[in-house]
Amino acid sequence: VRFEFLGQVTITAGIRRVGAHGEQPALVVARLVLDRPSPLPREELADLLWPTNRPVRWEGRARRRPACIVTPDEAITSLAASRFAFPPNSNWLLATATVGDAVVLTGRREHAPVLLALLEPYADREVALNCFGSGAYWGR
Amino acid sequence: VSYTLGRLAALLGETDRAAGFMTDAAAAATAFRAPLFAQRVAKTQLALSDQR
Repeated sequence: VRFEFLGQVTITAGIRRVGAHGEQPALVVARLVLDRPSPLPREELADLLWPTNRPVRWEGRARRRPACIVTPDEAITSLAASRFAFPPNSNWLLATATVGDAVVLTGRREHAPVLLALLEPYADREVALNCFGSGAYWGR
Repeated sequence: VSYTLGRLAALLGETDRAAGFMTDAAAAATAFRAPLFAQRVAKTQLALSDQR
């Protein structure tokens, strides 16, 4: 992924190129990239997006913006520090299976034993992810 | 999940274990009538049999 900050702020990934439209979104992208992988606190995000007048429902709008930019390797390293201990809720299996796929795709074999141990009790479950970042699982 | 487990096992070089998981994944693909997923599983099974 390539970020360009001279002239129009653009993000290029492979053959796909997108621009950050407007000064404030461009500032957010610049802050996220330059301070990567530090997360962007919501208050700071709001200051960047709306330096003068925050909209009434700014919290909902801010939630739709990315909070940090990390590479898959950085994300895996960060999650591995807690041995991939996601909160034990209904997203646990989805998150753990997705990280398992990410570990395979990035070739980070040192993390495979932990994920095998976590996921093996759920081998008979079906997990489906959609392109919007959510998903579903079912099974016994 | 068995598909992910199979690929994790393959990443570790445990090809027999990976093949076992892939057999389960192939059965799931058939049960759920998911032809694209079945193709991915079959492709992985072929790669595993080459490694073995």
